[in-house]
Amino acid sequence: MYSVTAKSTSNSHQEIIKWLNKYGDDMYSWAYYKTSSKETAEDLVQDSMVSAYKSFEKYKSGTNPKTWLYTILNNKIIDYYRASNTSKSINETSLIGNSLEGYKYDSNGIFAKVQDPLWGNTEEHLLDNSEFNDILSNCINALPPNWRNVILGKYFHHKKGSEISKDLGITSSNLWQMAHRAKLQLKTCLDQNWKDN
Amino acid sequence: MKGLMKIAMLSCKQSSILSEKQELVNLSIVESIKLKMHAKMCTASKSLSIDNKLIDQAVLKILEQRKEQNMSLTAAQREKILQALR
Repeated sequence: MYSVTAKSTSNSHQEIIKWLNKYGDDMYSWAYYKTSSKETAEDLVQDSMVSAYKSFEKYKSGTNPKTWLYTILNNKIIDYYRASNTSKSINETSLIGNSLEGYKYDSNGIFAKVQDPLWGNTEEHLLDNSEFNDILSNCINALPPNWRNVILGKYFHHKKGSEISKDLGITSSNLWQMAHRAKLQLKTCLDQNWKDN
Repeated sequence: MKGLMKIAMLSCKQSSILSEKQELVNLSIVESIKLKMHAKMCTASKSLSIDNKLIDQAVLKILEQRKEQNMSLTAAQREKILQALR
């Protein structure tokens, strides 16, 4: 995170504070929707407001400030997606993925244990079950950031694989692998935390 | 023959990865046939596939709900942002 050091005109400062009060909550909701992390959402709103303040002269008077702020915020979100796929984080999540797969599959890639589905014919009931939804919501939030971003990219915009890979700065084969591992992790998380009543 | 079967058949892990791939891009004909063959024969993969379909629907529903969710910055969060703007 960074703060403004250069002194800008008091007008632009007042304007930015006005925008923060007017659009801050919407921006925060949007950033949370896109990242599933309240802390990250807060940081992204802060970064966006600071960037807007720093580049206030680029704002064209008369245009909708919300559109301008959202353009900045969306760029910050893409930067965040890319940053979460650093080689360090990929190595760390590879270890988690390998251990997850090692637990689920034998050395030939065959399921080590046949498991019954978590649920029988209760899909509709489960989808309306708030306790189940809360657990799954927590499971999504607990995914490693790069796996979570794959899931979010896939479901949010129904993006094509190539678009998600480009946004996240990963290869397509990495994408399938991450999507597979994310789903395996969600299933494991539900296995551990959810018991059909 | 055994070697040929090994080439023709997918492992459960390969099958799960191809299932995910299938949701994002079109599979080749060979991949598609291999996936169908595996799905017909493997009970464990069939079970996972049922769970995955439900997870897909549930995740989609949760994310749609989040889209409609109106969140508010707390006074402390707002103050932190104002501090950064000083």
